[in-house]
Amino acid sequence: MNSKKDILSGLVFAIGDSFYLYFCKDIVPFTGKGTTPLTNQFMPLLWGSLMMVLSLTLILRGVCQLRKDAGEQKRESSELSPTRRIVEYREVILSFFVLFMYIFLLEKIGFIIMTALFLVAEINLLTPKEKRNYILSLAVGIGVSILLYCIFNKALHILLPTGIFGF
Amino acid sequence: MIQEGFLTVFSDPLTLIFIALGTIIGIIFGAIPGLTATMAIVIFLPFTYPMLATQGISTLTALYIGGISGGLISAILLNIPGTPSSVATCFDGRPMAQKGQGAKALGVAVVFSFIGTFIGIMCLMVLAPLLASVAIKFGPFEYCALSVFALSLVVTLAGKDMIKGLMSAVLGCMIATVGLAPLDSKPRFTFGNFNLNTGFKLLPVLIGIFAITEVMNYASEVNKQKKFEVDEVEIKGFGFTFQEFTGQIKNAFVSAMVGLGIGILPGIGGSVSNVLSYTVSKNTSKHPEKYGTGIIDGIVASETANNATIGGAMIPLLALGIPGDGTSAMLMGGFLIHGISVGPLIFEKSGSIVYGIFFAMLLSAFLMAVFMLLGMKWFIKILKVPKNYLLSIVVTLCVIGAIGDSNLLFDAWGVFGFGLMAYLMNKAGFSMTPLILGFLLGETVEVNLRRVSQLISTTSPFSRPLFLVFTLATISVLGYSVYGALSRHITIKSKEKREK
Repeated sequence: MNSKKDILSGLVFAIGDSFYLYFCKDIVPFTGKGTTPLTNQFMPLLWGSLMMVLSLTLILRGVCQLRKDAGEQKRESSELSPTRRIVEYREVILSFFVLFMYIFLLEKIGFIIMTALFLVAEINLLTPKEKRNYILSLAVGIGVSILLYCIFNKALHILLPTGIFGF
Repeated sequence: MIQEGFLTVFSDPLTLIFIALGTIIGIIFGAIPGLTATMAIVIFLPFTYPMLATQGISTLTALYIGGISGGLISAILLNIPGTPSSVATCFDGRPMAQKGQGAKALGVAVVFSFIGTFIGIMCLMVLAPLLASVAIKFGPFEYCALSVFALSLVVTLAGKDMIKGLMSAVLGCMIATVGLAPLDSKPRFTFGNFNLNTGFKLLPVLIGIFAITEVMNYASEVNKQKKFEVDEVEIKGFGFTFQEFTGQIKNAFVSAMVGLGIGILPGIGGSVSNVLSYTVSKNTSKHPEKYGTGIIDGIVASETANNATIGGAMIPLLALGIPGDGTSAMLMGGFLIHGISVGPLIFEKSGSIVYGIFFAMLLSAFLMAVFMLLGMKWFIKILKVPKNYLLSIVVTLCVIGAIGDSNLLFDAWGVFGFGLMAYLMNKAGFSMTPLILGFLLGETVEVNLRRVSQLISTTSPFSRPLFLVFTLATISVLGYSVYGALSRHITIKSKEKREK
């Protein structure tokens, strides 16, 4: 399992780093008075190159370990199929989705409404199905949302998005 | 300066109230497994925006001290460390509780947490100004070498996998290159987005990495959560005898020094110091076989060390601008928000505020001991608060914290993005500490390396002794860990050959 994780991580880092190195060409070096021998391109290129070497090393390590495990005929006893993996991490995926929608709609809808909706959704996601109490989570969501708005916006004078309804 | 600092704290009733509240809230966060001192600082940072600098930073340090100390409650009563800094407290704390000595275990842990914090802060007050006075003489050569040394330490000591540690650190450095380049202000990786001109801010990065990942880790275990029973315990007096106290003085002093040393080394922190100190105490004890069966020596070692680490971690933070651990990295964000630049000039520019913070920390340590000894039964009740509600509110406060600093929704997206990245990297076995240090030190390395490239034609690096010391130290640390990794690899290979 670790070997496959290493190969996948290495690949992701290598692909990301390729983009990083590609966009280094858009960095315009400073050529005016006071320029340094090492330009503003040097460090990005250094970090990018180092990352590429490390990513490839990680991939290689993963491949060697995978071959070794295959040679020893080691079976991965707890490997899950992609569908089962999505089911197992359902709460995490949904939590990230809910957080994404919260931030996306925050400025459009407004702090109080979106925070209340987010809290209701997230509280229930973090609760096992058999223990969910929708009425309590709704009450907590609305109450906490208004309380936070009063504390931060009214008491501490921190600007919070108002949205189309003005709050 | 010292007198001014003392008066800044003790003549302002609001500051005293904030310190008391911060300590109590920190203890609560530390006590509840899954909530940490770092998360407490993340969440309450926005509350400090309208405060004066001394008030705000005193509150944050009170949260830090309370948070590190609070972990002992669940460690002893539930065998679940409230924070990573209390892992070793479980080893003897829980057996003591099972033997009906829970009150004694808690009393010992609280008193020696105070002693560890006190020793750490005393050393901080002495060593930080000394180190700052030396660091003032640092030039680009020394800063460049020191930053690279700090990064190498983090990479080699922070995790088991050196390649992943290095990748994490380099990724942090790469993230730090986004924005206007230092020295010449040419845009890099901004893609025409003006929000990226100033690069990624420290707060969204830290909030995403620390807070969002904790919530998502809880989310992944929602259906596997076990219900736990909490023993009701009340401490009478200190819970242990004066003879037992005097018998632990040497153990406490050694543990404090271990904690202080670990705290000074960047990127490590209380999560390592408590375990290391426990190991040292056990190996140097006359009765090592009793460790793990329920003796106070183990608790003293763990709690003294993890609290001494607080003072230790603040030393490089204040004197050099290099945080000693993740929590002090978060504190660094707090300093910046209140307009205080950490580094060698902090004592010259903001001396009275810094000494005020020292006195605030001493007060917080004292209050921590008082609150925990007198109010333990109330803190135990807190353990029963459902985390699904708490953590959902935590996420909301994270978003508010990110937006509140700059009034830009872009920073909330930063929290989301870094949270997602950190969660996936954690699952793939990458440590986040090297990434944070890389992010913090990347610009320092670049600025000073480019300045060195200008100066090298006129100044020989061999004329800078500290530069040579740091460079040799870096080579030694990296060489030692490569040697260690190769030795382990050879040992494993020869073991496999023998088995075949």
